[in-house]
Amino acid sequence: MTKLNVLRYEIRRLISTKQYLYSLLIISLLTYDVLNRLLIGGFKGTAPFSPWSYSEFLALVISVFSVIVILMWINVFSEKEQKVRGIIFSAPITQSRYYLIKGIAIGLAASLILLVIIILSFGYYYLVYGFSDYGTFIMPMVYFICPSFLISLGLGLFIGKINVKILYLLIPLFLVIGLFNLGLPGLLDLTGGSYLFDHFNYLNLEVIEKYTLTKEFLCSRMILIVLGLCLFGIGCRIKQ
Amino acid sequence: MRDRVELIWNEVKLLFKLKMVIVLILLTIIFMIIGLGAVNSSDNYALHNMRQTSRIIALGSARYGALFGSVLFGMMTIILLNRDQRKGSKDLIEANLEYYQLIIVRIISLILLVIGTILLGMLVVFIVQTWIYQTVFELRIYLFSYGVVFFPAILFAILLTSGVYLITDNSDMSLLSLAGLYFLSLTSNNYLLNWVQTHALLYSDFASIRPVTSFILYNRLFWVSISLGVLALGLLFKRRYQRGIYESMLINGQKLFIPLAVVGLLCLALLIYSHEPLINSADSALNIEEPVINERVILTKILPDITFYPDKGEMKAVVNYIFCKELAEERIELITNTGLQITSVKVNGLPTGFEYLKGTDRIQVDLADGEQVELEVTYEGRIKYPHVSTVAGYISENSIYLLEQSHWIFEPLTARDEQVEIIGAVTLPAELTAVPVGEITAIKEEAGQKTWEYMLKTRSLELGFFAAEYTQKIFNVAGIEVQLFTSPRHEAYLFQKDLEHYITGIVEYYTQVIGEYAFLDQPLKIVESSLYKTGGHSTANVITIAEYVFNREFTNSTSMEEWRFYQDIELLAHEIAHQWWGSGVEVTVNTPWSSEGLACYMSNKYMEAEFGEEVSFMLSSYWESSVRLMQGKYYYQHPNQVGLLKKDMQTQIATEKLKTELYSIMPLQLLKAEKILGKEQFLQSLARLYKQNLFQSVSYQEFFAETNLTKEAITLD
Amino acid sequence: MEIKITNLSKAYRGKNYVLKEINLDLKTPALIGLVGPNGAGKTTLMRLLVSQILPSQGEITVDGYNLFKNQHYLKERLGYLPQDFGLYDELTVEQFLDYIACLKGSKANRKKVINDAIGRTNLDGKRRARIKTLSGGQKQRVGIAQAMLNDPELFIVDEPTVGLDPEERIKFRNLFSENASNKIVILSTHIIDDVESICNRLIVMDHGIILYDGTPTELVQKTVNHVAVVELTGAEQMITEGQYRVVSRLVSPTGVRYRLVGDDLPRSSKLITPTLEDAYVYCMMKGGF
Ligand SMILES: Nc1ncnc2c1ncn2[C@@H]1O[C@H](COP(=O)(O)OP(=O)(O)OP(=O)(O)O)[C@@H](O)[C@H]1O
Ligand SMILES: [Mg+2]
Ligand SMILES: [Zn+2]
Repeated sequence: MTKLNVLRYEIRRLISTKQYLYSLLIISLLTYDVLNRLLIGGFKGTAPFSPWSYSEFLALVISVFSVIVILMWINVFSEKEQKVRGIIFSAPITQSRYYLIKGIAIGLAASLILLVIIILSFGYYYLVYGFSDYGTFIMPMVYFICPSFLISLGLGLFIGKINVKILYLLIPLFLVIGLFNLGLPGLLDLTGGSYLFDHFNYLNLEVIEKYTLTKEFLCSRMILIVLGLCLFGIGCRIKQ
Repeated sequence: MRDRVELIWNEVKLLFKLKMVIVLILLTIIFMIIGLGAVNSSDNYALHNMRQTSRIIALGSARYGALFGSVLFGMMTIILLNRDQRKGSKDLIEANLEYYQLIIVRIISLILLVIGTILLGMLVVFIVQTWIYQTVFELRIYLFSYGVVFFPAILFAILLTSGVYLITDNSDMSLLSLAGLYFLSLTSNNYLLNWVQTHALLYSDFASIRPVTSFILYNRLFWVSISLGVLALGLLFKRRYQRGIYESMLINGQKLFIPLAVVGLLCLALLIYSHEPLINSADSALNIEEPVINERVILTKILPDITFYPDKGEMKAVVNYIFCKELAEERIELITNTGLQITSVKVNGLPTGFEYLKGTDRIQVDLADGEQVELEVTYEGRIKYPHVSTVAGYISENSIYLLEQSHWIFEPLTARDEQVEIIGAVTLPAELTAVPVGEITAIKEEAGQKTWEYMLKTRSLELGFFAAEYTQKIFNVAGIEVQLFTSPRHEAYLFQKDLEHYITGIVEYYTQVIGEYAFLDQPLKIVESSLYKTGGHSTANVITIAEYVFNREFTNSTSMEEWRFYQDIELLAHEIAHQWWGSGVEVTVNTPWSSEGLACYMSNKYMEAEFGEEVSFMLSSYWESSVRLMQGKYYYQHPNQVGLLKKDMQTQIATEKLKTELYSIMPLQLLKAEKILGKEQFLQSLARLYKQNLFQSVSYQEFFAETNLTKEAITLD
Repeated sequence: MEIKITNLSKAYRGKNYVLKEINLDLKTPALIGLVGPNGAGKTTLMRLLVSQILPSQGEITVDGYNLFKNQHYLKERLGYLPQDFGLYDELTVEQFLDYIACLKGSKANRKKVINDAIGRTNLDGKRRARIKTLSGGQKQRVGIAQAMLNDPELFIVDEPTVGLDPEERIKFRNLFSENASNKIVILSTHIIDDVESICNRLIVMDHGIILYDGTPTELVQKTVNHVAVVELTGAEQMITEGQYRVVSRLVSPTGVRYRLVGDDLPRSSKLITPTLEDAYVYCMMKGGF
């Protein structure tokens, strides 16, 4: 019960910072920009509010979102925080438990940002196209948010435990993989953006009408989700 | 001064003690090497498997280096700048040294580090290139790629992040801002905003870098002023005496040069942005509406006298137009290129006024009364593009490429005589071989300049012009003189593919199936062009083929190689087909009816004759899938929604639709017609259509009349 | 509670040993003062005791359990103030203490526990202030307050009185000795006064070994006959005979008064009763008893 209070404090500490507000601002601008500039014509000819367009939207936004998650982890492992650890680890709480709390706090604070992204996009669709069949977006959300979110959460903790400096390197990784089409295969394609790009090069009408993704892609998403969770689990347990 | 240098030197030494920095350098170099192979993963599929020469791979390596390096070094900047804050040594340092001095020192030492990284990377790339790619290392190209694309990208990243860091006093916010700007650069198709990778995808091996340098340099100029402006803004807002942002600003502002620099630099950036000199957004090419043609005036003759200054990228023109009309005064319009400034307009030798139509690239001129009027327009300057990726023409040091769409010769919007006579002259440095339309009547050389006189009769007023250091090869096919102009760089490669054999085959096939070539007295010129304009083009009796066509390289996968070759041959066959449909017989556009449909269809028939049905079927199945793709598109199905979009989006959607109609629907309809009538008979009726309308135009109706088909009959299901 | 330390050695990253074969037995009640020069290994010993670092050799048991296998057992009973610590700057004093209390999983009324800690550390006026805005000494007090939460059985404080004003220092050392009857309090310090006034056991360390372990009085006892004063007039040279250390040098109108500690004191000096400080210096000089 008291651990819940700790979680509450952690979340509060995360979201009452100016960088959190700034993240919200940047991500909101990005949401608007992607929807209004890049996807107004629809993704590869599909409707601007098709699940495909929504997938592309998420793939783009999620790369910057992952950077935000990584930044949160960088703060967890910052020198300033590390100095408080002296006091914290004299309390009867195991390291894994403590990092679990931290991870959940980051997960929740980040989810709040996600929520803003989703609400903004829904609002945009409703206002601009009068579109409100949001149910069709559930699958895109599952495929394009969960894997990169969990990977950034898991990888952030895992690598942060090993060395904070390497954590910084995840920022260019997510940005470049997410925004620049390197034609990366399966698992390396963290945001799914390369897949969307390639997938449509093999023209196929059925693919466009239905929202069907290839088995390999779904597999890679599953693996990423599991990998993210594993990394998180292992990350919690790594002794510093 | 000595102290400062020592301070910087110490900082650099300190940098090298950080493991992070070593990793950073290594990663950047790795991506520089990966970038060498960027051609094969570029978004433009047509460029894949292009033969990788020094020029082709140099930009790839610089682009990849910039793409990764900019974020890496942006991040390093933050790590470095907030190091004291993180470690709590800020007060300690500030007691010994003015802090902003330290910031400047750190930025400078980072920049030195970047230069070191790039030089080291260049060395590694040199080794990789000579050993693995086995191509010549052209230092000049690398210096440009690394000096103007790569280095500035990282420099901007460093200046922008440190500026934002000083403003926000928060490392997360600075990194997020960097991410935002990075996103903008990668997704924008406004070349001014591509601060990281710049708009150019590849350099041309054929035309080198000059055609794109002005864009890249202007982009760099814009971002130099922005990033310095942001840095100055940062220095203005740098927190002092633990005060807030506002009070700090008041303190910092007392050093007057800081606010002055902020205002000056940011205004400069605004000015650079708003006075962009290279793009003409009012270009006719971007206009969907048809221009109004004054049918009462008939153009009979054009006498263009043009001088090129390739090293400056400029041209000077004196063009005389001869018109016939009724006695009364008439007002006509000419499509110009807004990059070319008009110095004088004379009607019948008398200077007269002219006026630009607002928001367009057209001018209005009043023609005096009289039945024959001579209009002389003198203009000079650089060609402007409608859009960076829509290259209709450029003049550069070692290549000139001017399509009729660039309106390097202003196009009068009047009726035309059955055959407009063009008698022109171009003057350019002697080392360049000029390839004008029509036939060359005389060549004069004087003081290192050559003047090429040429002559042509045309209905369609397709006046392209091409020049480069070409090697020329001449051979005869079916009574036609074929002149093949290729770059000496690619000559060996192209002839290895037995190009001559295929050209002969294509020309013979068309002659046999459709009829004799219309301009037997003129040579058929096939010219290599740069990759800045992809694909091929046919203008009057000149065909251009971009340098990457046939110029391929494969490591393995032979089926891929074969397939690529078929596509390349088909492209050549398509462009040659335009000599029959387009140049010989003008095809009056009535969407989907146009010369494109016929050219696509004919080239497919040639492929069938040369390589068999299987190949031609595979190639034609592409039309079907692209039609189906278009039909599946949302805005195709909901045309009423298009009006809600921005204008450039509307144009884009309309162009896409038009392209599918011209290049895919029409050929499919012709295939269907062929099926209905039988191949033999259908080709015969096309041949009749050609003969009857030679040097004239043929309409959709005439096609139906000739084939006894109806629109409905050939409409696709 | 009983803590047994046997043959404990520690070397950071395989370098030289900073603790060498330490053997100690700590039993409730105890108020232990840990003194020694900079780099003696005090902090290292304490961090080993709170299991923040692992020993290179040796063993620590708490109530018979191996410490490193039963960290939870220890930490439930622990209050620890590190020498060098950080606080969550953006929280208020109250919030921070609440945060730590939650981590410790206070069984009793959390509010009361926190109020108690705030009251005892004299932070009442600052309870709603953000930690960012506190002075150095106030931050130190927040550190002490968090260690006091839950009234721990084992109370380990590393130089707790650093940065406190004299009044506060006196208050705090009394605070440590309050209800020490059912606790083990280990306190490291460089201020001999602090030890003298509250500790019933003194451990002197240097170079990773224990030089002395016993009551402060015993230590003073051992120094009797080894402390003396000598008064010299004018700028006259010191007498060079003997082996001793100068503890203090006081300049007066009549001359200079030296306080000397050593085995071989100059003959002209006058023996006096030693203080704990003299005893510490003597102990250091002798390299242990
Ligand atoms: N993390 C570390 N890595 C390597 N050596 C260390 C580390 N921490 C301490 N040391 C070394 O261990 C020795 C003992 O350090 P410790 O901090 O225990 O001394 P201390 O008695 O607490 O000194 P002080 O009175 O200055 O606080 C010192 O020589 C120090 O250099
Ligand atoms: Mg210490
Ligand atoms: Zn064509």
